[in-house]
Amino acid sequence: MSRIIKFFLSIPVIYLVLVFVFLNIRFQNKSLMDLSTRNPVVAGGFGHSFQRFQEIQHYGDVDILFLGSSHAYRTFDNRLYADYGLKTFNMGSPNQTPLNSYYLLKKHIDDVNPKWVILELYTGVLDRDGLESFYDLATNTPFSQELVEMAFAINSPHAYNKIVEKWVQHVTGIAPPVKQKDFSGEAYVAGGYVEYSQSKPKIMPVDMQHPNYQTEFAPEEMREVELLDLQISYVHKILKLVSQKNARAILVTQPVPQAYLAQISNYEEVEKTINSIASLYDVPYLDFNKYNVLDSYLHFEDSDHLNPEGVRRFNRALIKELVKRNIISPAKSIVKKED
Amino acid sequence: MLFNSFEFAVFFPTVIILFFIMPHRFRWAFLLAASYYFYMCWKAEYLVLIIISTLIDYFAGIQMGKVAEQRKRKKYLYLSLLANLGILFSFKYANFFSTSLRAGLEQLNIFYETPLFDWLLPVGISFYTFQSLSYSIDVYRGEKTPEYHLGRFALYVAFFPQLVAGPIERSVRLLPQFEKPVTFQYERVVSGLRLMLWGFFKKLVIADRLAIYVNEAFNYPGEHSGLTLLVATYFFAFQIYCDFSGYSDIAIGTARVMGYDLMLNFRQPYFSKSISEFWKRWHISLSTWFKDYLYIPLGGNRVAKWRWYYNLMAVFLVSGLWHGANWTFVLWGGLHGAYLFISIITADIRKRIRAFFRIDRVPALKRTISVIITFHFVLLAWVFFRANSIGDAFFILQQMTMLDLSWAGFLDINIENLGWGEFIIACLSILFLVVVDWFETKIKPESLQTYKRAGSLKLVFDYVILFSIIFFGVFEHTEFIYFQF
Repeated sequence: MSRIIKFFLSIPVIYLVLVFVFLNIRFQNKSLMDLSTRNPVVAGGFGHSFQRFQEIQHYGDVDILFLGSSHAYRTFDNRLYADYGLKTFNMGSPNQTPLNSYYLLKKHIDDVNPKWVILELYTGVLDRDGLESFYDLATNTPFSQELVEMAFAINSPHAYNKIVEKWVQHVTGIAPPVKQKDFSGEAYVAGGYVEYSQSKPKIMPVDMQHPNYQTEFAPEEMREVELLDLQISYVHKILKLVSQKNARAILVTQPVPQAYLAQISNYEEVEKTINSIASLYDVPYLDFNKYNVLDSYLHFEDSDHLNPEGVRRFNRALIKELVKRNIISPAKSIVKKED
Repeated sequence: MLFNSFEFAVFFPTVIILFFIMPHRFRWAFLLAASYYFYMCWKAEYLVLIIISTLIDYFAGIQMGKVAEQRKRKKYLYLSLLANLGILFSFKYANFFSTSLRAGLEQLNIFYETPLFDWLLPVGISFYTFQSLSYSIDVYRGEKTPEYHLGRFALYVAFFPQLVAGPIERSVRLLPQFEKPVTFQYERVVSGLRLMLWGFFKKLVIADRLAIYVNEAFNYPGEHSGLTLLVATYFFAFQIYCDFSGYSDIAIGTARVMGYDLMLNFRQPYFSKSISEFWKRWHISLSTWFKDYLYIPLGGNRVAKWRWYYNLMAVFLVSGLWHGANWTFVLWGGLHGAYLFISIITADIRKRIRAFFRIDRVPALKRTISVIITFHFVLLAWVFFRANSIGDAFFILQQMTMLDLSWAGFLDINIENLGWGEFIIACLSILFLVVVDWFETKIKPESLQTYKRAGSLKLVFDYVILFSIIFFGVFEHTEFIYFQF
């Protein structure tokens, strides 16, 4: 009997030793553990999370804080809001789900004291478990209590392995030096926005039956967004937290091409769910898929991300909506420019 | 509830602790409640089907026990057959036959909308109906006395370790075990846990990793090169083996921890030297079920030759259909039936060829060649088993005949969805499995059922397995393939 007890007691010790060993076996800037989990994330890699979460620590108070996936950090251009005298920070990161957003907000809300929090709700993240974003955040941000809580909330052995790896790094101080990589065609803008400039402009056919659309832009098949209760519960938590901190929240959905939208079989149900949450907390929900502000043909970089012109037009429409709702004041110079 | 879920990680130790602290007389009720809960976690309402099947077979068994006359007993056997096969047909095959009939009529220019039913296939339906049915047949044959304890009989039908994917147990083996009091035995518990660990390794490290590659290739065969499809076919052979034998290991291990012995379901099938040997090593509980309840009643091999071949083919076609309501499975079964038929009629020729090349003089060489050839015949049939349609299967086979074996072709193997790191882990884990299986072929079959595993390095082996699962497992709660059957 004592043998089996010894066996079980030895597991955590050997586990920690192995984590330490695996951490130090690196290949193409990834630890052995990362290689085995289809984890596409490398430190200082795609999405500029490393740079963004370095910057936020000394950024100061903001008027608006943006949260969300690539649909946030590739969409909300801080410079356009600065034109209105607004200081903003874009805390979006790759594949960030509401679960990830909540813990990020919890960690940083007191650093930036936002008056407004805009949560971008892209349908594509509402049916994900948040693991991919967790990998990104655990790789590119320092060890923190919120990361541990995030791992427990995701409740996957992969998340536990990653957080233990992070903790071992934190305790031993053995961590590979991280430097933000540069990627051609994208540039980090102070405040968290990442500007994508197309190396080769793509033309987005309006007609979803168009062969180019099928091959280059369309999702493979009709899909149903499986709204995870877990993610919905974190939208609630975000709204409660924002309210506790005396800030106001706005839920926003960035537009996607009509064809993309048409291929989501239960979009109305998704929209209805988000609307009901927004009503519950008395916050606006602005689904820009209903606003008809972009051209499916001209304003997209790929199947669902905006191109630079799309970003400009979308933000202009959002600002206009915020002004209309007296959420922000119109800036005289801009009004003149718009005229 | 899946074995590879956090729910099971809580459920299993809870059940074990309560089971051992509970007096023997209450254990059947506790295990029955746990088994029903285990099934209800998937879809509560479908538990009704298990209960119906249980009550009918219990009643039929009791009635058959009351009468000695064969003719009267037969009436109750038919009731059991009708009920079980009726449930199976309605929920598993009705749509298949309906769409097949529609397609057939369309060939004759008759356009008739045959009815389609919108219901889910109950998990494990083929397993528990066959298990329950075997009891009725055994009682009818007089090989088993009727079980008068309804609770214990219900537990026999729904025992959670093997409820949804076998092994398909026999009443003569399992029912008496529920009557005997069991005590906590350290050696047995450790042995059960060890077997579970090995099952989890096969499922989480090998099967679920290979599934990522296999699903992509087989679901979109037109987008991949012949070499990619060939690799995917080899991967599928190991995926299905690890998935299904992994489930069996976990089931047998779980039952063993509680003190119950389930039958061995796999015995290193890819080391078989012939197709007939493969079927003695692959899904043993199903093969013996078909042998005892279909092949032998049809006359087995003690009939005229043509009738023997017919019996073989009939059994394999039914076995194919048992696996799934799709013509791909029927073809897969038919292919195995054809293999056996060909192996029988070519036995003399093959003997002469071996003698000519003097292969028999080097037994190791003979064994190796036989194993490799058998494996590849099985591999060919797996294409039909996994392909989404017969058309896809032939397309894949056609693509595999046009291999680009150059370095460029090798680099063209599409591993985008898996990544090189995982691809290498997948290959190494298959190698590890083959080595372990090879060692196990050296162990006598009966000793596989005993609690002690051979080898002085077993503790190291356990650590390797455990940490491989922790670090290299794929935890995406993928269902076991055989659940769909």
